[in-house]
Amino acid sequence: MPFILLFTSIAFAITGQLLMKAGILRVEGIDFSRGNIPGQMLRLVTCPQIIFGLVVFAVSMIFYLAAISKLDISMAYPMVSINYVLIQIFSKIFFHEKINLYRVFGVLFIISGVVLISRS
Amino acid sequence: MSKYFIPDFAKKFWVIYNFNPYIMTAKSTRAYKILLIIGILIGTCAQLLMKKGVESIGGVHLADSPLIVEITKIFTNPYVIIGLFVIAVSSIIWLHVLSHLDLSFAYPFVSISYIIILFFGWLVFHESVTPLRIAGVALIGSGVILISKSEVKKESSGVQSS
Repeated sequence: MPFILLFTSIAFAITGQLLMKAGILRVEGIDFSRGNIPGQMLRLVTCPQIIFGLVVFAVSMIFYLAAISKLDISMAYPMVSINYVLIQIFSKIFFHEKINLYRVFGVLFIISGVVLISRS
Repeated sequence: MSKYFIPDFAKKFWVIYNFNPYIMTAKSTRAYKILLIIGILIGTCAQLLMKKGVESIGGVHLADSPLIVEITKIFTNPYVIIGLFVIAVSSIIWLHVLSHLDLSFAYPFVSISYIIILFFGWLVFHESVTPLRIAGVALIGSGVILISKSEVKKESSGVQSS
């Protein structure tokens, strides 16, 4: 049961991030230096991807809180860091972002660091 | 600023010193990296508040009691409410950053929160600093530095800042 909570949380967190990025691309980004801050905020809150992304992200937080209240942190942290790999893969697929060796090795370093921290 | 002659390297320092993402040129993403790190710092504070909140209600047990009861308990806790407000602020910063940086570039920076939480634990709760933890922090730090060295593709960012 705690593992199902954790994996649901991971899946929702990634979906939330991808939706937010899709939404921000759809509204062509926000930049408060261009002025019209209320107008830009309105564009944000009327973009379904962004709102849905934030909701999905919030739901993933609830699942995450529920999962770590039962799971050992040394188990939960390394598992959640699968996120970094999945985000790289899905940003390549959906947004055609350039995944270079810096990013691949950066993510590998981060995951090994997270494993080390949670083992101690 | 353009009225006076200012050499390029001086402009760069000017931008860092007066932190303001709005006077950035389209070329440089340094201010957005700084904004990204500030956003993650704020987001981590929210995480710590939420953790404190969940501890003060004695954990979340979805299986034991009705879902509505658990959700009401979570969302009436003051720490959780403040935490949610802080999350809202960090979300707007995050969306701002995402409109200029790749998701695959920005997302790994979230791992800085592990370092912040360890630092907090050492500072506030006097948790022990083991060699293993130092090695972990060093690895995460080098990973983030590696990613920050990777180029941000211009075409995929939604906005050409002016």
